[in-house]
Amino acid sequence: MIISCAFPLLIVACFGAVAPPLSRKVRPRLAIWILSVGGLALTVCGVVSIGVVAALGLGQLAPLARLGQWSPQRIGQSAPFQAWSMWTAVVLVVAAATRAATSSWTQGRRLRAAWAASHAAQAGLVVLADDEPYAYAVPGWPGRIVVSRGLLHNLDPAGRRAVLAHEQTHLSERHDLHHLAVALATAINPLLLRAPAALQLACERRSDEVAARAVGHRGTVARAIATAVGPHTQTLAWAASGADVTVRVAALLSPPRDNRLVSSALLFATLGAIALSAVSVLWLGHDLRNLVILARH
Amino acid sequence: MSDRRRQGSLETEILAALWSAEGPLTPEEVRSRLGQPLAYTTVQTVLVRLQDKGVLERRPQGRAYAYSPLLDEKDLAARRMRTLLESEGDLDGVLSRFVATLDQNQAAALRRVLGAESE
Repeated sequence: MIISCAFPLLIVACFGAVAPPLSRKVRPRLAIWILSVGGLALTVCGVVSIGVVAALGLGQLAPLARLGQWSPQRIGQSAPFQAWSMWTAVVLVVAAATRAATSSWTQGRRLRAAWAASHAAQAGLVVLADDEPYAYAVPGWPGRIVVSRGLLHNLDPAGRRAVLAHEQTHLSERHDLHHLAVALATAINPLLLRAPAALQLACERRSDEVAARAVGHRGTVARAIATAVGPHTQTLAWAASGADVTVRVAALLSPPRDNRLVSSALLFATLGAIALSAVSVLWLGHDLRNLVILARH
Repeated sequence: MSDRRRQGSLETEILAALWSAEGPLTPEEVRSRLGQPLAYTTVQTVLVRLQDKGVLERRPQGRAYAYSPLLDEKDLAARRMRTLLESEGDLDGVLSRFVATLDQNQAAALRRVLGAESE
């Protein structure tokens, strides 16, 4: 029981350490899915396994034992955990639940605000009368692209197409939902600390690649990015990390790279990790059920 | 790409062309400012649809109409977008920005890689 409980936690810790740096070496689209689905699924398994330990602690409380009609002493005797670890687990589960609730509330409010704004627009493009060069995608159904007049004036037709195709990719591939999944997973599980930044880069890289295919020239997209980098963009506090822009431009200026070995290794490792975690959690549930049945006699 | 999505991306591209122009454009002028070759009638159809939505206004010019985008300051959408930008502190993840803040070293590095490419 100790092993099947520790296993999902070990796996999610490894994932948090290894997946974000490796995701930078694989195709961006694969990186997006691995970070969001892998991060969320492994976090859920980890929380469930801590939850089982917490349940064993709570099951020893007299009122709960009466309600479930089992013997609290027997639970205490057969649970392979120290009392302190069970109470730590209770604290961790409560903390995770609180953080999950807070994070979904904030993210939900932000998404609702974005959707409301995006649905007020008649056309797919909203132009703001602003001299600072910027562009972003506002999610919704179907979502809108916002650009500043300052950016449009500095771009040639190919550059405009590149920016629009880039933003359109964020919308049509629903990158906002991937961000939502990773934000939630990271809020619950601090081990995923490095996942949000890696996901951000993967989404931008993916959109860059789609834009490069749409305009048929990688350098055009690189130059459009550089055009949109203005000295005034510093006033916008929520800009992404600047290091990423250099990474994106450098990636666009070199031929498309697809490290098949790392890609398939990361894909299969993630799928394997999810499967092992899930089996581990099922095993743990089975053990818990047996323990409760024994404690009822 | 689905048909509807193609229509949508055509709309945004034509709107962007109109916005980056100095004055009203005829369908032929719009066509010459797009990054891809398109039929005159396709451009015309999209322009008419955008005008129906109230996004563009048109005035007669020669034998055709010239289209220009309606001023955005009166636009509810533009105001909502701006409120969204200004009210929410940390929108990372909700809004995906095209570019980021660069410090001087990063900007120099960027110019170097772009310069190397154009040589």
